[in-house]
Formats: sequence, C-alpha cells, structure tokens
Amino acid sequence: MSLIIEDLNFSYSNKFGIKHISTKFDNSITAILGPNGSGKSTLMKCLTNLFRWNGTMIYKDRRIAASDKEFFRSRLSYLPQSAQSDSTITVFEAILLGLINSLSFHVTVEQEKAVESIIESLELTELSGHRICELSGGQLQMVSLAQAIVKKPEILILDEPLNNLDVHRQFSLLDQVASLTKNSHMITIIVMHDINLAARYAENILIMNAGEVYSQGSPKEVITRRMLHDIYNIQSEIYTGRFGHQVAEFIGISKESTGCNALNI
Amino acid sequence: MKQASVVDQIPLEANKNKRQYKTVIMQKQLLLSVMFLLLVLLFIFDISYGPAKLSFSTVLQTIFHPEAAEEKIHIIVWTIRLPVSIMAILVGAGLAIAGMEMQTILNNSLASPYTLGISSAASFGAVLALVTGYSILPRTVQNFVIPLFAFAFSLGSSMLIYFIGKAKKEKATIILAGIAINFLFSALNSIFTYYVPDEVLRGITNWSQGSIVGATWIEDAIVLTVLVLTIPILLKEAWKLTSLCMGDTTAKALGINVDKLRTRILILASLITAISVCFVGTIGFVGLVSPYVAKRIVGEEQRFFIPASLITGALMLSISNILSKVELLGVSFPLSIITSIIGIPFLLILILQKKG
Repeated sequence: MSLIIEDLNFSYSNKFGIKHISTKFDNSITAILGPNGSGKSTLMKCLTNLFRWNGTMIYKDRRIAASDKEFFRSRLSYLPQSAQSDSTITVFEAILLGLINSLSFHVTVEQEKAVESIIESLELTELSGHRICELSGGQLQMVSLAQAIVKKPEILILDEPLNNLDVHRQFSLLDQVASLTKNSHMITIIVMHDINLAARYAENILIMNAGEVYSQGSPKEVITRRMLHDIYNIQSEIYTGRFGHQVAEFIGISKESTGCNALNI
Repeated sequence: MKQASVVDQIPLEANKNKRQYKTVIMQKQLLLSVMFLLLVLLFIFDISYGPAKLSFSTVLQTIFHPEAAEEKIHIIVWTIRLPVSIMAILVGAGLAIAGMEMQTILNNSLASPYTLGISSAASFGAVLALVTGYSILPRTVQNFVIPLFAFAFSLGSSMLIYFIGKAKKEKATIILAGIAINFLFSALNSIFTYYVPDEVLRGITNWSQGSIVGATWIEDAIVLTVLVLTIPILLKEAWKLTSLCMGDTTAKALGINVDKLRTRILILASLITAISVCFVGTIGFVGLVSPYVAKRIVGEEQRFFIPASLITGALMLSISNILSKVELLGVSFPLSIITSIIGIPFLLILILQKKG
C-alpha cells in the first residue's frame, strides 16, 4: 500500500509554486526536508487537497482525482503548522472534532471510546477537561496530533509538528507517531527542519529545493555533505552515530557561494 | 486485511475520561434545564406584571382555561400581554442566536447585529417598505413585505461586513465598519422623518426606539416560523461551527469548506436579525451580551452554546420587558434603553479584554 504522485504541479497566482514532483510514499515515515520557502508546505497542501494541484495521484492502484473529496476526508489526516487558539472548548471536545465527518448531533458510544483511547495513548488524561486556551504550545500540539489520528487515517501528514516543542516533547511526539505508523501500517509524511531527527525516525527522506525534488531515498543516501552544502550552504561532517543512524555535525556556513536558491514562496 | 491500530489495541475502558465527559455533558444539560425553568417563571411573571397586577394562578388559569376567565382578564392576558411577552422571548432568542453565529463566523466576540450595524440596516429596510407605499396595503400583507425589505438590507450589510472582515483582519476594523453602517442607516432613517405623514412617522419613531409594545399574534407567528426553520439548520451544523473556534487552518484541515459554511451561516444570521428587528425595531446589545454569558455557562461547543445563547437572549429581553414596565419617579423607560444599560458594561469588558 503506497501513495504515488507523478508530475505534481501547483503555482500561486503570481509566485512560483512546486513543479514536476514525482515520488512514492510507503507505509512508513517519510520526512520532507528543505530550506524555508522550498515548497514543503505547498506540497503538503496539495497532498491534502487544500490547494488545486495538477498531476497524478495513485493510492492502492486507484487514481485519485482532486474532486474525490471523500477520499481526502476519510483516508487522510492533516496536522497543519501549529497555531495558538483562544478557544474555550475542552481537550476532549477538540479531539472529538477529529471525527467531524462522522459526527451527528448525538455523539455515539463508539465515538466517545475512540477519543478516550487516543487520550490514554497520548497520555493526555490529565488535560482531558482543560480548555484549549489554557494549554501550552506543546500540549496544544499533542492535542492537535490526537485530533488528527482519532479517525484512524491511512495517510497522516504532519507539517512541522516539532515547532515550539522542547527536546523531550519532540522525542515524545515522534515516538508516538513512529509507533502509530508501525502498528497501524500508516503512510506518514512529516515536514521538518531537524536533519538528525529525520535521519533517526524516517525511513525515507525527500529533499525539496526551489519547488522541486532535489533528492530522495534512505537517510544514508540523502543526507550527505554535498546535499547540505548545495541546499543549506552549510559545511558539515556526516558519520554514523552510536545507534546506527546518520548524524550530521554542522561546522558552519560554507565560505564559497553555492546554489542555495530557496525561493520566498 | 488491515491490522488493528494502536487505537484498537488500547483497552476501551478509559473510565476516568468517560466519567469526566459524561459528567460535563450532564452538567451542561442540567444548566440548560435550570435556565429554561427560570425563563418559564419569568415569562409568567412578565404576563402577571403591569398596570393591572395579576396573580400567577390567575395568569395560569387564564392561559390554560381561557373560557373560564373574566372578559377583562382574558383581554389583558390574551390580547395585550401574551403577544408582547412571547415577542420578547422570540426577539431575544433571535438576536442572541444571530449575535452568537456572527461572533463564531467572524471570530470576533464584539460582533452582534447591533454593533455591526445590521439591525440598523434591517430597520431601514422595514421603514423603507412603509414609506414607499406599502403602508396602504392591508396589515397582513405588510407583515410579509416588511420582513422581506428588512432581510434584503440586513443581508446586504452583513455581506459588506464579511468582506471588510476578510480584507482587514484586525478585530477592531470590523466594529468600526459596523459603527459607520449604523450611522449611515440611522441618518437615512432620519431623512425619511422629514418627508412622511404623521402616521408613518410614528411607526419610524417606534422602530428607531425599539419597542415590543403592540406586538400581535400574527407577528409572533412569523418570527416563530423563521426561528423554527433556521435554528435546526444551525444545530445540524453545530460541529462544523464548533471547529471554526479552533481557527481556519484547523477547520480546513478537518475537511470543512470554511468559506461556504461562513456564507451560509451569515445568510441565516441576517435572516434571523431581519425577522427579529422588522416588527420591533432596533434593540441593542442582546446579541452581544447573551453569547458572552452563554459561553461562560456552557462553553463554545455549539450543541450547547446555541440553546444556551437562545435562552439567555430570551431571558435578557424578558427581564428588560418587565423592567420597562416599572415606573421610576412616575416614568417607565423603553425596552431599548434598558437593554443598553445592561449591555454597555459588557461591551466595555469585551473591549478591555486582551483577547477578543
């Protein structure tokens, strides 16, 4: 089971967008890396059908049209970049909203149980009755994750979920996502900036630059001195860490000028 | 075959959460019941209170056994007070619902039919219907033409506010635009006063002051019909409307067509405003105060927020109607002055609050 995209294109009315994106997402974690403005979030918004994309999308050997709203609603969950909320609904109610496409006026016992289970698994029990406006940035991010996964999506897309999280919470969130991905055989796509965390958690990495795919493959194939030099204009050393993951040690900004041509999208 | 997810593997009896949620729901239902009971009591008190004071039992007997009542009491209860007391409840509920949905879709707790100038626009529409010749039509025809005019202007100004809100994100901008609309339609209403005959002038003065005195059964029936037709639609969209309070990005990520939902709800809110205003004129602050109070009682989950706002609005106008019958130093005040005295402190609180 995989999500295949071929020649995906999108352009903003007066700015550059993304072009000729072709890749395959498997039942594992794929990290999308790239400098600011390289088109990562634009790609995510195309995959979630929030933007009108052109190209081909194939899932389970079936071609998916942009008009197939039911597919995007039922199979896919999207966690957008974190936003503060001054809402006074409770954490329980916020997570319940993740089931919005099946919710009617009366909440069923099954729906309640689904929310309760997610609250337990993400260790949010203490926060269950709290209002959203009372939560810290990290707590809100975990609640948003719970909201995204409560409907048991087959494809989970997270856009920079680690923003505003301390190191402990970054690991906690990624551990949860990794466990869910493995146990539920989900296709998980995460946009992130931390190259070493991507190497540790993702089985595949896709590097975006200037609206196009720069490279894609396993962390060992993709995270190279050359890539860091070309994309980020950074000098680095790459080695295998204690746990067998690729580790990038950053030395500093490269002295010579490079093709770091991120666009301000 | 799809394997069981982590969600499936977790024991289902997360009893603590379950109890918490069930308790919260029960508390909200209890609060709504208490509020409703209070409204019923105030409604009966409203009918009993006036120049001729009636006891609760007389009122109840006259309502449930009208044939057994004295003719004088029958007229006081059935012809004079009941249509007015019912209008207070209906208009209060309508303005509160319109206010809460405007606040929800504009994400601005300062929004209401009054502060956005939509009540003024609807009043202008109603007055326009009168002065352009519909006053010569029979009363029953007027009862349908006036709401149509009110709705047209209410919808037009709502759309204008909506597009201003989209163009300028600052919460204060929308209120300033509302003040401008308010001034515009108040001025236009005043212009009419120089041209119309005395009979129509009295009607315009009534509208501009906001008064439910003289409400009739047919007017009650029209307002009730619109509320009965629109509120179930809002309740049906309760979860989608709740998702808006998490922000547009989250609502869109949940699969909600936010723009379409906003337009649909704005049309409904404009219709409810128009129908609430067209028979009684501009009554301020009900749509501002009621959602403020209701949100603090039951929160923003719209399955409870909608009925709580509705009852709070009805309570506010019922209380205001009773107070408007109290004579202070030999003078009793119009309803709209009382709602303003209640509402202005709330408006100041909302303005001074850090978060809108």
